[in-house]
Amino acid sequence: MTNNKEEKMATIVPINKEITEEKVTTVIAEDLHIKGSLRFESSLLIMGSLEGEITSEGLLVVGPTAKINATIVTKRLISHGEIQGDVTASEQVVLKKTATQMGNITTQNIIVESGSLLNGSITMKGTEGASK
Amino acid sequence: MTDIGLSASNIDETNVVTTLADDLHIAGTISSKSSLMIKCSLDGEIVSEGLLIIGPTAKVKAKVTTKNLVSHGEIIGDVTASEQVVLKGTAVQMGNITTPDIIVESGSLFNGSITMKGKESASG
Repeated sequence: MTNNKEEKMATIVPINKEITEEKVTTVIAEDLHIKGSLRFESSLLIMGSLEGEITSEGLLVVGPTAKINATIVTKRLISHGEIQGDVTASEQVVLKKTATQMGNITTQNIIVESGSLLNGSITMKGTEGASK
Repeated sequence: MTDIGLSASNIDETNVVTTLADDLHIAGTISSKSSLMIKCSLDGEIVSEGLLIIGPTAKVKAKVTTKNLVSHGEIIGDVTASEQVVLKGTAVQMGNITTPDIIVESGSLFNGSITMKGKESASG
């Protein structure tokens, strides 16, 4: 199912390549809405909407059309879309210029591009939490 | 607009009106109407109406209010920037940030919350 979708996506959304920069094994297209929890190991590109929870040990790419209302635990996150919920990324979070993030972020390394919208708190390792 | 700041990985001081060198220590409030570069340590408060650059050697423990902030150094305290905040790869930020536009580079360390305009503040 994902394979078919992937092939279709390749023609429908050629921007995918630009967006991910890396190979993505599963693509959830724009017209798909998921309610529940999602778990994957390698990589996932979400263009659709999701409500619930995402758990992964790999790369999560949130496409520009995506709307996500979820708690996210992953290794790497690259977001071009809208996320409402807390994000924990063990390696890196990248918020691209079209990204909207409403919720807290816990990570080791973060990149935020100009133009992105971010409301929430960021917790990073290093130095005992002198935050507030 | 923030040309000076954005290209400041090789920090260009030519357009900076005031530079506070790194052998200086300030306790108190400083206010500036144009651009200011801080390389020293500072305890207190900074109010700037222009571009504020925090150098890589700077240690600032202050409440910062400015238009543009480009930080390469360490800031402990809340930052409010009316235009933009740029945290460079060497920056350490411990405290909250309020701004309409932000750039955070890889390598920077940030603990605190960000509040931006746009949408009803659904912040956590």
